Amino acid sequence: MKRTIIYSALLLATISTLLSFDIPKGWFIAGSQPGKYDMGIDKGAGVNGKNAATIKSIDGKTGGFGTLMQTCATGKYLGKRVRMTGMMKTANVKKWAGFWFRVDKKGSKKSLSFDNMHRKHIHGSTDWQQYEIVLDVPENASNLAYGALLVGTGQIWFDNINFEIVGDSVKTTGH
Amino acid sequence: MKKSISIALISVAFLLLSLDLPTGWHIAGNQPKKYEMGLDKGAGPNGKNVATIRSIKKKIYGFGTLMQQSLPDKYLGKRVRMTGYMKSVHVDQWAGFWFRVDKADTKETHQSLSFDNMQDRSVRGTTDWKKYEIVLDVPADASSLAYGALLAGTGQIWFDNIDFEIVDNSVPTTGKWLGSLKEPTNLNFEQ
Repeated sequence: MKRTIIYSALLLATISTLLSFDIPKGWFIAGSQPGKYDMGIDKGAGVNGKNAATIKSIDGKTGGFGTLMQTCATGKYLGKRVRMTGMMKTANVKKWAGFWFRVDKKGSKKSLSFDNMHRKHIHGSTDWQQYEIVLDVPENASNLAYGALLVGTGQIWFDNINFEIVGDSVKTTGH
Repeated sequence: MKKSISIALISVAFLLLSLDLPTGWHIAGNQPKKYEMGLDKGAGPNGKNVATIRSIKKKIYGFGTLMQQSLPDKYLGKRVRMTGYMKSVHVDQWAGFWFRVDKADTKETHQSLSFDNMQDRSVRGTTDWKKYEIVLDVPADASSLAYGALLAGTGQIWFDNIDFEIVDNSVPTTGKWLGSLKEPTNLNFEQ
């Protein structure tokens, strides 16, 4: 356990000091192998020539995943059904990629709801497309966590993430 | 019997290392093998020990660091100033102290709450002994502190007299605050 912390710590130090991409404000790097990915803002690579975020594998072979993520308080989403949408583009994704969204409860290691789109199995090279995740945010939730992840090698770009409250007629996508 | 074997093994280890590792510190970085790191006995201003990091390759893409991790305990919920003295010779890229506050997120991942590696005010080239500082907030739910000195690229640095003290909120922080937000922010990555 201590070794994992030290390893993650030095990988985070590595990433923070020598990234080719700037980390977008309010976002941070995580994953099981964060050191195997370059993550951050790809200026002008967005849908309309604006910025997009990117995650790109560094080595030829990578077991594990990297994610660019954000966490925030539940705010106006507490007790509501929430749809997260975002645009994503992929290049040579050997395993899979996607957006992910999670609802947490303070003090509990188990999440209240979660979806990482792994059943959708986005892989290979795909053009800009909109994806969505719909989760319930229970009354006892304390924070939201979300981002995009890349499992294995390849590169993804993502942009225009949005959150909106939807009615019960919209089906949830996660667990 | 066991004690003499330990002594023998440690002696062998010391023979193989050119520099002793200071107790409680360890080597890291993304190119640790391209550096010699450890105690430079008597190289300090008053003939005392200092730590050093020295490149052993002519060209290095990456960095080495001598670092330590500890529990936050008395610093929880406080603003903390890390100070240290550093000297450099022929640093072709950059060097500095670094300090990071972490929170254990899940079993696999680790979240960084605040961080500063002095990259915006780094040590470069050849500089004399000078005091540097980093000021970070340590949230109440932090799980560990990590800190050390790093050398990116080639050259050599010496560093010594690292200290941590609690300061009040009138002292501005120097690093990046990475804690939890009130609502989803910067979702189009324009910032």
